[in-house]
Amino acid sequence: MTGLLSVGLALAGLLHASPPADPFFERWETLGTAQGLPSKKVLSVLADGPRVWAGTENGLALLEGGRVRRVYGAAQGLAVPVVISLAVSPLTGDLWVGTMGGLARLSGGRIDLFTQLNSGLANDIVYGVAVDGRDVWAATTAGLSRHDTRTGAWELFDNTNSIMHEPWGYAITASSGAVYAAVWGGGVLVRDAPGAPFREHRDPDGEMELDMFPDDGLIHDITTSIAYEDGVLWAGTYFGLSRYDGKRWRSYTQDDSGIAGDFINFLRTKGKAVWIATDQGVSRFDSRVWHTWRRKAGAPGAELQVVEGGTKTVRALAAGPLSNEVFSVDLDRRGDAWVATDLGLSHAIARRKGQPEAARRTAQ
Amino acid sequence: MKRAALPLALLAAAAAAAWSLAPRAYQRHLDEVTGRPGTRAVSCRHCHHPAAAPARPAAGPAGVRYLSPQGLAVTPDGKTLFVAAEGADRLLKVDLDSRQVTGSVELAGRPHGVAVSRDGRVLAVSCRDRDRVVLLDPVTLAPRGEVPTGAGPLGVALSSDGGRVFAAEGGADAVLLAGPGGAAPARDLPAGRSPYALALSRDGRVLAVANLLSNPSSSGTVPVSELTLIDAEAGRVSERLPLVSAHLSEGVVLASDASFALLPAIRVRNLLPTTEVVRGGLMNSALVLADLRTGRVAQFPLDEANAYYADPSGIALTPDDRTAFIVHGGADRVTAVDVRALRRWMAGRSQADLDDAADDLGAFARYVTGRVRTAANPRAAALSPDGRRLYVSERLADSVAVFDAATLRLAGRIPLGGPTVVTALRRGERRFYDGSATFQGQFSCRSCHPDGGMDGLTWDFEIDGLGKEVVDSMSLAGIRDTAPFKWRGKNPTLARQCGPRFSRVLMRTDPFPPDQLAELVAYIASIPPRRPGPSPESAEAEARGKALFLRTRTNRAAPIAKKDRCATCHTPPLYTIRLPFDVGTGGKFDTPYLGGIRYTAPYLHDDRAASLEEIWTVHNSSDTHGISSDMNKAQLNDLVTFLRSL
Repeated sequence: MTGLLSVGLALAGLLHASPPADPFFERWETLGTAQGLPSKKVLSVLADGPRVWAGTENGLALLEGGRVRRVYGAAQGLAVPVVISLAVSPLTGDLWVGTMGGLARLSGGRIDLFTQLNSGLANDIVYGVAVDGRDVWAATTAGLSRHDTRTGAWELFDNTNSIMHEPWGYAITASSGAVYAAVWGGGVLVRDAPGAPFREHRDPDGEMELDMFPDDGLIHDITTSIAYEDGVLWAGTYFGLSRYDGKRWRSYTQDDSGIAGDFINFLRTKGKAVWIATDQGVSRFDSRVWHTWRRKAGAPGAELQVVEGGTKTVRALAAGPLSNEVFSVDLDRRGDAWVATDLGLSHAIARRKGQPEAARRTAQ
Repeated sequence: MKRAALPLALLAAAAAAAWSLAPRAYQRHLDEVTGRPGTRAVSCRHCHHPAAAPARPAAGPAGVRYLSPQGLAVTPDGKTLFVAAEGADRLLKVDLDSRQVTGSVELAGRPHGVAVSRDGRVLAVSCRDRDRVVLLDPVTLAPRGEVPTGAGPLGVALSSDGGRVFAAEGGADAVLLAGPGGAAPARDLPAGRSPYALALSRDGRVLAVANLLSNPSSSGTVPVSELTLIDAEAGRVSERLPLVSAHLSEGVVLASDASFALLPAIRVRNLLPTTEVVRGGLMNSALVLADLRTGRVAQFPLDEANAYYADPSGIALTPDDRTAFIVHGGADRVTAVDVRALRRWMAGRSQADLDDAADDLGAFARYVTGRVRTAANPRAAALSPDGRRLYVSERLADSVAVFDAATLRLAGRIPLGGPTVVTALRRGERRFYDGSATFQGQFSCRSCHPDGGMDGLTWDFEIDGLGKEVVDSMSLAGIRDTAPFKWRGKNPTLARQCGPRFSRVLMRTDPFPPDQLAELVAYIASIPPRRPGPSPESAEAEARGKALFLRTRTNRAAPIAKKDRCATCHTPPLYTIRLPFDVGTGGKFDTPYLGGIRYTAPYLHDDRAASLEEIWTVHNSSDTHGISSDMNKAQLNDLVTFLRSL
């Protein structure tokens, strides 16, 4: 008994002495066409309970237990199977799929396709989709669309009937009647309640590409992504990240923070943290510490960059994202990260407290 | 004599002048009204007096209001039967010992579906025209609350404790899952098209949904409806089993262990010319058996060669899962089926065998164990909890038939207290739902116009059977004053359509006798328009859409020629000028009436437009169907919102 205790203490000491290089993930796995994805280019990813949906350049893949179980393409009803945005209805469990050929609803294995020709959808290129109760919102290249799934009614918001500077919607999120949209060149649009007019957040520097006065507002009008949680609005642009808590703006760029890159493709909030998909890797920020996972520049392998209070450390990792061109990211219910890249889907397996990896893998 | 000659001569001259000038004035007037020179109409009365339409039907003696019972539900103790009297806006309570109606309560909005919770404490009734499910105390019939639904709730089900309500939202193509009083967030799950009936498994985990219409598809393809399966606990659609060439399912039951589902359907072959009716090839009654463990589906004919039992509707399954009873609304019959025989036969067969069986009209002898006659238009069926008594609502007789389930003998009939007089209108309604007038009783008017609406299919009505006249089945709701009829506008009256055209071209049998034809026409003319309910959320968009509908100038302020305005041809209040025009779809077609148009997709004469939007986005690129190319997408959405409100 005493011997066992000694071994335990020694192991604990060793662990304390050498913390893991990556505090979040034990290891990374990859999925590509060899594993059943219809294309290596994964443009969107969404975790939904035990399932993960991967939207690729050539169809939508359903993953269960880490494996591709089913693929939906043109034959199944996705007329143009370039899947660029995904959202699940919390009410019905239906998956809403934004494609380059319309907005699709996947329900019980059936795909219903809504296009600019057969429905009130503003445009067939659906960059963003969000579900709020019975309403489905789509951010398209010709405006924002709202579809009431009970009445079947469609409502369209564009530069002719709203404050929108131009109609190119890039991302959208909605919650409890409030809607937040990222509009290319038009900053962030906000609708506070159903029926209320949209208002906008714009870059105070206007056309200036220089952020003359940091933290004076949205960092740039070319917004590409949006997230809202716990009263905090996050807006991703091609020139950095902005945070707005309802009173103050704060901006983050590669120069003054730990963000992977300023060219932001996608944002996802999980609790207090925001995950940022960029063209130079994927970052996580919890308002205190930045973590960035990326490929090593000019060398094999990956690295984790940690930035906290002005101190930057870089740790080598055996594996990381397949590519630094990260299009989307989500975390599943186990805390695993799913990272969509131009070279495939990366799966970062989360560390679990008190459970060896082997046992956890068996449990999966 | 000479004095009289001058006025007479003047009169004759005036008459001659009028005779020669009138046609020109008449044509000028027509040209002006339609904006299309050369438009021809039969007479002034064509537009100015609905003479071509039948006179408003006599409703019969004052105060006649039939009960028209639909849904049934038996309490768990087997002592009480609840009947939804759709025609009288009432729910009836029947004591099954005395077989007397012992109570009733008024429920506005055409009560249709009824369910009692397994604990016997909650009664739910769907009101299809009020978009709600009403919850009642089964003992006192006192109201306990109501659950708002999507459009047109029909079938209804309750969880065992009555805490959860499920409703088939027939007009919204969805199924509602809700907790009463807002206890749980209501959710509308996408079903098939026009979900009609529900069955909840005994353990409350599986909800099966029968859908009336086939799912949207391209015109000219085989129709496919679905059996929608819902994980009732998770509130998710779990599976959709395709029912190829089958539609118009109005009932569904689940086995006691939810291992299989049964639903009646019509096997339909609308891609064949209607001349094929002589071979029994157009439609058959079928019983669909879906094995929910394997996902295999088989369709078993309920008809016999040269003997057909039209319009299978309600269904009931004995507690031991051995016998299913299917009521045939168009044949006034109940068919009993040995379910075990079906399952045995199905177990060892390939899918190809199952597909072949669907067309084998000699197969009935393997599983049909009996048939029994009912009164007019049986629609729903329910069994006593012990499975010994079968109750069938006889909709057009205002009664409930009671059968011994073991022998299929009539054990009694419960008159529900409807009017004793049978009006001409009621006789016409019976004719509409009766398949006996058609060749070998293969189908009824209802088989293509369920509830007076439409089946969503195209049919080949051309005599030569070469597909020259493939046209959309039109809704009959609200068409009273919209003569002429048919897409070509060839039939000036409903009597012409339902008489010679119907009998010779479609039915291949004798025409209705004149008195029966008059009654049938009177009934069809009485079918009310199907109006969507008010939608306060869309009021502004509707107003903008109406302005677009009535507009006389384009977005650039250019005048729109009269012939190119929506309201010229779709003239309010009927939204049809009742004249044929060429809108670029391959010839002149009658201007359709727009009332209830949101429910009648697909559109245009041959169903080429899957949605209202496609009428303009796909099929009006040259502005031949009104000027629409200048509209932006928001305007088109507003126009569609307005049309959906009609």
